[in-house]
Amino acid sequence: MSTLPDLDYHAALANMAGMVELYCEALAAFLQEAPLLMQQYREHWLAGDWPVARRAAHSLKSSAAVMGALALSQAARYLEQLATAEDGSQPVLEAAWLACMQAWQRFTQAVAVYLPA
Amino acid sequence: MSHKKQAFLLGLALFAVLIWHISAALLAQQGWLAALLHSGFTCLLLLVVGVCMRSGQAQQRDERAGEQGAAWQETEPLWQQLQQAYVEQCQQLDGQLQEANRLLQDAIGGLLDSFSSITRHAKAQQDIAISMIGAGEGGNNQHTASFERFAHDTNATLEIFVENTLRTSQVSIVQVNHMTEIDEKIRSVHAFLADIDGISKQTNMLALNAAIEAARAGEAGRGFAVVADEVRALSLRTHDFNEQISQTILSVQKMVEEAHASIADLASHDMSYVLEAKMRVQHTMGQINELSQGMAGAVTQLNGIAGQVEHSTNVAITSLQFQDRLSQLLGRAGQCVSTLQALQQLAPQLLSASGSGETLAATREQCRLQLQALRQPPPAEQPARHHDIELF
Repeated sequence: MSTLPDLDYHAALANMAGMVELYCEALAAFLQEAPLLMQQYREHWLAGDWPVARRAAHSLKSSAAVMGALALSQAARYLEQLATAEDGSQPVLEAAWLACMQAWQRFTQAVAVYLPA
Repeated sequence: MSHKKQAFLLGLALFAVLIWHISAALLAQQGWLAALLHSGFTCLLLLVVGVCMRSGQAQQRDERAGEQGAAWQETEPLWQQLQQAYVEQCQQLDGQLQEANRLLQDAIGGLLDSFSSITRHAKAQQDIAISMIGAGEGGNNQHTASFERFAHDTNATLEIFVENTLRTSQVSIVQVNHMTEIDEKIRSVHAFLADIDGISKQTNMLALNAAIEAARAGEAGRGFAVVADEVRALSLRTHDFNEQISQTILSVQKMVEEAHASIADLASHDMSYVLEAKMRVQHTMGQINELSQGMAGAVTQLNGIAGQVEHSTNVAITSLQFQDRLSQLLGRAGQCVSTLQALQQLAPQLLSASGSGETLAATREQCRLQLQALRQPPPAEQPARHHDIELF
């Protein structure tokens, strides 16, 4: 069980060199892109298109790390590993994808206070 | 003559006859003296006979005058009543003649006015009929020709209208095809705009990633952060332009769709109704032409009838000229009545004449002059001649 926080705001702001405005813009873009990446990963995983699924998991992992969503980044890293290993075990993949969705839900709740009104 | 005088004359006659026979007997026997006596007694006898006859006649006249005088005494009241009744009847007759003359003049005057009014109205009707069909037969032909020209012009205009309508329909079909192509092009532009929008978003994401990486690089990545910001700005401007173009293209597409629908609706109309309308209009124009010709014929007949009415009325007015002749006849009848009255007045004058012979002679002379004046013939009546009658 991961012990990483759902949101590390200070680390994320440090990634933006302390520019809160830049973080808000990056956060808005990430909130739009992250669901698409998760959906893309699931579709290509079900279709057996492992490279595309792995690319989507990789982008989700990197972006989440930059935005301070450390738990989500860790869940995405596990999805990337599964895609890289091309492991077609349905229960494993379902459990990993469900964990990723739960991490995403917690991140959105935590980051809501930093979104512009 | 008295009875004594008659007896004397009878005895003298008998004596003369006796002497005459004696002288006749002597004449048969002796010479000239007896003849002379016979002649003398003959003359005497004739004289006596003449006197006796004259005396007898006078006696008869005296007797008759006496009888008439007695009868006149009895008849005079009745004679006066008859005179009075005669005068009254003459007066009534004269009054009735004058009343008849007045009524006749009034009636004839009313009839003449009425016929004159009829003539004026018939003339007005004729003028209206002439004005409707034009002046004379030439005008009628002009009217018909004018209407035929109108029908021809209308038909030509209708032909042009139908041709233009069909041409418009054909052009509309072509325009519908063009509009369909334009709509397809616009849809492809929308696809291009969607691709451009995707590129803009990816560019924005890349610029954002670049800005983040530049920020993480610290001081060394400051210049790169400026470039990343410019790229993001260009990406946002591209996105804005793309949105504006997309909205404009959407408006154009909407207008093209509306124009396409309108032109398609115009082109989808069945143009056969135009040809049917043309046939109906031509049929109606033919009926109107026939109706116009019939109306012109009817007006011509009305014109002829009006002329006949005017002629008949003039004949009636001419015939009513008998009023003058009848008035003359009534006038003469009145004069006859007056003459009768005057003659009736002469009789009492003669009957009442009495006194000396000079008075009676004067009365007779007066009556004779009056009778002569009354018998003056009336002025010769002028026969009515048709050409002498002044028409009203």
